[in-house]
Amino acid sequence: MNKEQLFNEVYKSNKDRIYRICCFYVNDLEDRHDLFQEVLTNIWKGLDRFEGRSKVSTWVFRIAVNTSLAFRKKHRAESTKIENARDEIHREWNQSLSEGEQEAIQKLHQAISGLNKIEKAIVSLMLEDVSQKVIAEVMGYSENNIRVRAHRIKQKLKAILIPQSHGN
Amino acid sequence: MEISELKSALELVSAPDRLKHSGKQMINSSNFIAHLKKADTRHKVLLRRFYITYFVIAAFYLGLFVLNPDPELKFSDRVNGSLLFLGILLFAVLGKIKFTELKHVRYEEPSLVFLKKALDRYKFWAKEMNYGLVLVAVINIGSCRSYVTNYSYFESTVTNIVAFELVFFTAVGIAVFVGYRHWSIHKKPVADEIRTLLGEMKQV
Repeated sequence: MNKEQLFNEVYKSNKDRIYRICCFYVNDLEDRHDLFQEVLTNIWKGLDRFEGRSKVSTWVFRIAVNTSLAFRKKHRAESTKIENARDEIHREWNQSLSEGEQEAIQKLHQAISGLNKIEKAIVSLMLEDVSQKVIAEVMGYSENNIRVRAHRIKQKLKAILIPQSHGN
Repeated sequence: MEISELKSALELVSAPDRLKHSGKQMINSSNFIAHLKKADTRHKVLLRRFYITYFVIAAFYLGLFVLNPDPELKFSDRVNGSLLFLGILLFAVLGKIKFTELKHVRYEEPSLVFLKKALDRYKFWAKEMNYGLVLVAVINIGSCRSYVTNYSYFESTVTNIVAFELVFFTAVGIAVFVGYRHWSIHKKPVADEIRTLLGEMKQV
């Protein structure tokens, strides 16, 4: 398989997961697309070095998380711009989602915006059903460390989300 | 709302077919590879131009001040020329090291390792700066010798050396100041952000 075919393969099977990971770090739609594009570019560059020592998915997650952690926003946040971007994101999602689904996603992002970048990285992988062992490999932590952090993040998210659901 | 419900909600988000770039819809996912290949070629061309420019300058110094058969060219001139040639060569090697380092940033490493390496890259006094000191010393010796031998203004050699060094180190000082300003505007915020991330990573 040549580089181009390998890239297409990786792209097809991981694009949605990569995009969802990017969604945790930036609100602005253009920044989000820039970040997504940067992850894809880093995957392309890294393919020459991919030796198959880890699973392709672990390798992709590492690139997505590291690129997101290092990403510098180009579009600085003015409040009106953020509002416009949110409207745009909702419009993008509205095309296929029901009102309840949109609300759920909005709540998720609200809750996650209260976390720091490292917690965002961990929770973005948890929500993709990545095992704690793989998250530990991606982040460079021990599995035990991830277990403790995951527990704390869940507590934090519950504290944000549950009062909201009681209120509804 | 439970976390499991959020998980199913998130699964509904999928990657866009067209990427928004700089306010314009310009890159389609299907021609993304073509775009990347074009960028790769552009980098290769830029790198080749950098090497050609340095090769021409180095060859010019080597030919004119070291290998030139002109009998009027004294041995000391050839030594000065060799030092300047060495300085140019060292500068090109330093540029190559930095370029290779940036080109081969390994995003596929564990985040902790990746961030530590990124912090090293964004420090003001990176380890290559030590080689930079050797480079400055070589250029300084070569150009000072050349000035004292051929273009001295004062009668005393010591005065000539002091005058030259004053000008030379003022220029180096200005260059360091400009470099520091550039670093503090463009790189320091990134370094601070990486430090914060590493701090968050170390919190247990």
